[in-house]
Amino acid sequence: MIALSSQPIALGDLIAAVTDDAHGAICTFFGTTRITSPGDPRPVDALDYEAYDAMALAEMEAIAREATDRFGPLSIAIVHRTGRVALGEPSVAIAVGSPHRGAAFDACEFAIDELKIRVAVWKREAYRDGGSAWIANA
Amino acid sequence: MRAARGSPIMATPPTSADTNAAPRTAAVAIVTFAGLRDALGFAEHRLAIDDATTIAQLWERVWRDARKSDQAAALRNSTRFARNGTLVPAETVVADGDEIAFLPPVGGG
Repeated sequence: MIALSSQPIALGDLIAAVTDDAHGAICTFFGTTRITSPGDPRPVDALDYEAYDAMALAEMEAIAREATDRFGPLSIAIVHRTGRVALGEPSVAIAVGSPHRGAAFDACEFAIDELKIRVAVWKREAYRDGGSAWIANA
Repeated sequence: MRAARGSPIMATPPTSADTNAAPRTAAVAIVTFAGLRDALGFAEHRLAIDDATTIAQLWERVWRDARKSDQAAALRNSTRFARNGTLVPAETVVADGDEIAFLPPVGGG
């Protein structure tokens, strides 16, 4: 399961997608929207995400393949939100099922680290004072 | 889930009806995102090209009309380019029907 979703992410669907009798571990990562950015005191009301859909999905698929090559056998699910995401809600969710927990942790961390660098998704912070700003990953 | 936006635009193959028509101008679709879209003032725009037009030349053409600001200036040197969904260098020569994306630094997660 590799997807962009304009609706709240159904976390249970990701876990179901990587559940397998051969797996002894499922590791999940949820990136959630936070009230402030480093170095900016303005409280955030919500985050708006947009994607270049075809490129974003292709890169998420590539990351899933690379995670499998490095840490497999495993099953991996990655879903990223588009549109407005309320404070505290997941903007990205990753689940990895694997025979052993070490590979599941490693693949999950690899996938989120690569996603933040490579995937064609952008976010804009909408502040409570009415302003907004596009925020790039460092 | 959403339908894919920005899928490559295919050139229409010539038909017999086109034979006597004036030659169609070759063109590409430019797509932009996030802060770069704000600076350039468009999300999608069609630009005419000639035989040897590069992405760098298209970039200079749209940048001339950009809203100039500190934020826009920062984006000028950090923008990457994609041709039909694949990252390519600015020197890449484009072809009729291409979709050229101008991509500011990403912010997913």
